[in-house]
Amino acid sequence: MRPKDVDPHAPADSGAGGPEGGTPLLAVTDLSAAVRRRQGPLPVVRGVSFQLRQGQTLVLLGESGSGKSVTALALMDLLPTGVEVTGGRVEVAGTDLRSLTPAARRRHVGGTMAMVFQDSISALNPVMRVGDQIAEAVRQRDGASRAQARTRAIELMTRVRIPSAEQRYRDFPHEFSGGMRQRVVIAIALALRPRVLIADEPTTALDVSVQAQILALLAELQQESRMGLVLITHDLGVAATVADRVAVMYAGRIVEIADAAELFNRPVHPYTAGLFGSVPQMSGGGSDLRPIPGSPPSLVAIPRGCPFHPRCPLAVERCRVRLPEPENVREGHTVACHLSQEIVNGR
Amino acid sequence: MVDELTPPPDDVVLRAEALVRHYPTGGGVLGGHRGTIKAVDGVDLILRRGETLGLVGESGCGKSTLARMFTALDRPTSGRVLVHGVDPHSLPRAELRRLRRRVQIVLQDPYTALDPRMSVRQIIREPLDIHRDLVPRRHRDERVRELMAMVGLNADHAGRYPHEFSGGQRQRVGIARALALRPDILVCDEPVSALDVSVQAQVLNLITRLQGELGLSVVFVAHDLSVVRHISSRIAVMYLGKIVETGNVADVYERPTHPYTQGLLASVPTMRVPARRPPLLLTGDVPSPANPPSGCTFHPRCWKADARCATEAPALTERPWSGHPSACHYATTEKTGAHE
Ligand SMILES: Nc1ncnc2c1ncn2[C@@H]1O[C@H](COP(=O)(O)OP(=O)(O)OP(=O)(O)O)[C@@H](O)[C@H]1O
Ligand SMILES: Nc1ncnc2c1ncn2[C@@H]1O[C@H](COP(=O)(O)OP(=O)(O)OP(=O)(O)O)[C@@H](O)[C@H]1O
Ligand code: SF4
Ligand SMILES: [Mg+2]
Ligand SMILES: [Mg+2]
Repeated sequence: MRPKDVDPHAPADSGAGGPEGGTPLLAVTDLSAAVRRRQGPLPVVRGVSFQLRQGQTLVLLGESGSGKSVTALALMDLLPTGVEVTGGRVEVAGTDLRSLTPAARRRHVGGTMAMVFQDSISALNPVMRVGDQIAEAVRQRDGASRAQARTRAIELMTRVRIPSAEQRYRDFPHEFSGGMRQRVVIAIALALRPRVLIADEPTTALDVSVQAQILALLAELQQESRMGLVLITHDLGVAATVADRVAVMYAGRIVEIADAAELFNRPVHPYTAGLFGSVPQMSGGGSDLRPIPGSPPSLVAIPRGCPFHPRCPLAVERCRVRLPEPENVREGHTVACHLSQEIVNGR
Repeated sequence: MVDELTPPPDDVVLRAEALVRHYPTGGGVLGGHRGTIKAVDGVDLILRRGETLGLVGESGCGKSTLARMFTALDRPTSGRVLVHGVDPHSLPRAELRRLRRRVQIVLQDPYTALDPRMSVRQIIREPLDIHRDLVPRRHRDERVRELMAMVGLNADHAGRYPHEFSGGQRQRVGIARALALRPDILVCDEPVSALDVSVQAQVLNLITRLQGELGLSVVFVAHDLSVVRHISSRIAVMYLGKIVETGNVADVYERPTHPYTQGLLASVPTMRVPARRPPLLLTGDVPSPANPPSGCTFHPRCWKADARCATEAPALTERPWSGHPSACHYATTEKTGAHE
């Protein structure tokens, strides 16, 4: 599945630039997923590769429908019915998930990773006390007694900085603000004592001041426990603020992955560059917006060749016919564009 | 455009005077305890001809309520809105209709704002069919084509339905419909918030271009501070139903003086990879507008607050160190530390 011009033994993504070396907590190679249909499978995630190390934050950045959530759910082995993994390898803490029976896989994933789902805030049980919802997760993970679970839930509420945790244990979700509910959701995920936390758009529904609080909380929790964090967002500012590494997704593929500073200072893929030109700057300066023309492709009509070619200002003939494979343009910086070398050299 | 109403004395096209909108709460079918939500609680604001006024603030601070009153879709509890110097609610029906044409609204959600059973032609044409005297029936479809071209839609797709268009295209349909009656004031309530980044930029550019070409005066409501900075010439920052700071965009963004504005601006993630995490200025949550704090409503979250702030509500005025109107007793560009 690997392109001919790349050393087949070299990982497509070295996961460079993380705080710590050693075996990656998460190694994803050529992961693909598809929606099952009568007319045959419809690919939605197409050859995604990345690595995550202890204490590292990887951001999956992309517009709606680009395959971020499906990628995350595939890692968690939690794809909804109708969507299935069609290829690739996922190694969690050194173990290839394919080598495990379904039950062992669930145990291994559940013991290593936890996820904050995209719509978690609204998925909290409205008729159950928030503390009990956290305690339930504790019992599920540790088989603790009720009293132990309650104590641990209060600890977790304190850990996610819910003030007066003990009193608020008995509150119901509707008595909490959006930001506080998101803290509860994070506490439920932390109850599983994950080494990898996957957070799918954890701040999208929140106000900026609350978003800043939640992002700061995630960073602090990560400092405390050295967990790996995969954060999914469509917000470039959020990505720049929290990421060690950023993977840019378009039409089910990672089109560019690099360390955050490298990606934001020297984007290579025309889509990444286009996104940067689309975002108004807080610093002002009256620079014009240079939007990408057109809109993201629909799944059922992903263009042939490079999926970005109809919107790409640089597209040439081969972009229309052949899919560009990911290539290293620099150490730890991988780009899937036929013109990546020209772009790097022409700078 | 001919102005059959009293010409405005100055360049102000829209004016809010001591505007208040309270919603009753509680009680419900069983009666019982009733309270009020102070959604908009004493707003004075002007919109000048040809400018874009950005209205920012966090969710629930009253932006949409204010926008609805600007477009005469909602009646104030007290105070008034003057459109070209005239209070729409003081007019007889026929004249109210005519005044309404001049202020149109573009809403956030292009998915729910458009009737899915109507073709795009019908959607854009509908206001013309209601205000029949504006364009003769036989010219209306042609006007629809013109409007579609104006917002960058292919006029040959007029027979299609909303679901056949992307989010950005649907927002263009919404804008074309809002422009059908040739308004001179456009109120945009979060017009790009639901759009993907790459498409959002297209719509922002479109609004900027139309404003120039048609000489529109625009109120642009959004919670995204970088979007507002980009598109606005002036800005008003709202907190719990009140304007807490207003001024030229560059002044307010470069030299914010209200602690809330300072905290809000510091919360916005920028595209620069930060060397270290900036300190959090805003902690806690926005209090409920049903029970706003006394004095300065920001005081429970404010790092400068003292006893005076808990009792005395600061007026929105220019202060010795503010440079532009700020509703803080201790307005200064200094971000940290207490006042002197
Ligand atoms: N259960 C499902 N059944 C059918 N199609 C699905 C399902 N889940 C996702 N898809 C499709 O797969 C594609 C990728 O979806 P995904 O949810 O991963 O996107 P995303 O990048 O997370 O987008 P968003 O930013 O909107 O959350 C989309 O086109 C979506 O419609
Ligand atoms: N019709 C209504 N009845 C009762 N309360 C209302 C009504 N409309 C708005 N409110 C309340 O008034 C306050 C202001 O609401 P508004 O929609 O104006 O806020 P907003 O600033 O537009 O928020 P957002 O950013 O979430 O759109 C909120 O507390 C809201 O719940
Ligand atoms: S008036 Fe007082 S409480 Fe209000 S913002 Fe200023 S210092 Fe803070
Ligand atoms: Mg998603
Ligand atoms: Mg609103």
